[in-house]
Amino acid sequence: MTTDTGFRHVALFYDDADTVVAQIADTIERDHHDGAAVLVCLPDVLAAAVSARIRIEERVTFLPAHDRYARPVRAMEALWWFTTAALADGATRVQSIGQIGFDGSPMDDEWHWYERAVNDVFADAPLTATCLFDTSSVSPDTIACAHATHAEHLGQADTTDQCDIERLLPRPVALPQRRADLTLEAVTRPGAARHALALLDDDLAPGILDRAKLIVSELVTNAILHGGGRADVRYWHDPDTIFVEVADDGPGIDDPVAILRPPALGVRGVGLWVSNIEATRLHVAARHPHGTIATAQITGT
Amino acid sequence: VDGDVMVDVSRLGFVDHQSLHVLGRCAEAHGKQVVLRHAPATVRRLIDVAGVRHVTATAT
Repeated sequence: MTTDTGFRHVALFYDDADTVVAQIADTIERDHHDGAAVLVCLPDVLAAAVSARIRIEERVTFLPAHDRYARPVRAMEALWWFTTAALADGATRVQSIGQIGFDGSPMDDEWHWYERAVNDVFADAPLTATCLFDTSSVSPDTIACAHATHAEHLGQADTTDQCDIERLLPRPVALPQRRADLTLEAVTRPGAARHALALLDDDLAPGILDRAKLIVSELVTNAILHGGGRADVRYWHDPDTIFVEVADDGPGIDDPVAILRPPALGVRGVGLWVSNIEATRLHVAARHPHGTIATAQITGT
Repeated sequence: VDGDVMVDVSRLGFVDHQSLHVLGRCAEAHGKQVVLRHAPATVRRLIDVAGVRHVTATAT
């Protein structure tokens, strides 16, 4: 049985698929032998090759990479629930093997921030998170940021690039550059902010409106309970998108990864977590001179 | 009440996670399971996402 109980974040750099498949299969079999549960979220071709090579089935779970890595909060949710369930089920440790689809788009920065958040969220967990990077396709700055967010590095990935620390911070929601369509000041009841959404537009898709109601309610409730008792709320809307900003003048949030931190059942933190799951994008920042500003983008799916 | 408590929520306008947790704690205190029937998609997701126990929801 393994005696290693701490968190390990491993970047595995590769440029040859056959070699990495063999390496992953060996890792799975070794960890499985030591009582670990294994979660595998790899591109389809790699996942199929690994699945065909290993000789075990129980306590090894394959999730499609495009499902888990649809959004950072979804990736965190999947890893959290798998880890929690596996440990409750008697696993001595969890091994997560995944590959995020870094593609040079602005989403890359969201994923670098996610990688950084994983270090914080799972700091005390008996978890090894092994992240694959195909050096034949990812950019040098992605490799540099992978070096910055992972404590252990396997394989060859030399780069002279430096990871800009700004890339490891959450990216703000880009609000429309125009006056808000609706502004509410000093809101003291979540229902008031929720009902105001009905004033925006009759043409909004019901799915968007339902998600927006939930997000506004959770964010305003947070402002009332933890942010000084009242909230200033602004709305913008386009045919398929609602933007929401909820600001308070409370003490602020001192957790830099608050919106990616899964809550324990039924305790503080659920509102931000629910809002992040339901939103297309969510961002939380400090408000000058004190307080919190939460912004959400809710787009139809 | 014998068995699970079934509630038709087809006319429910809104519920937040705190209300669902209150419902779940109430159900637990009475040794029951509450089933919300005709629940909208947001409510069904919310029960999972917020980790609400002793409450389930169905679309039908």
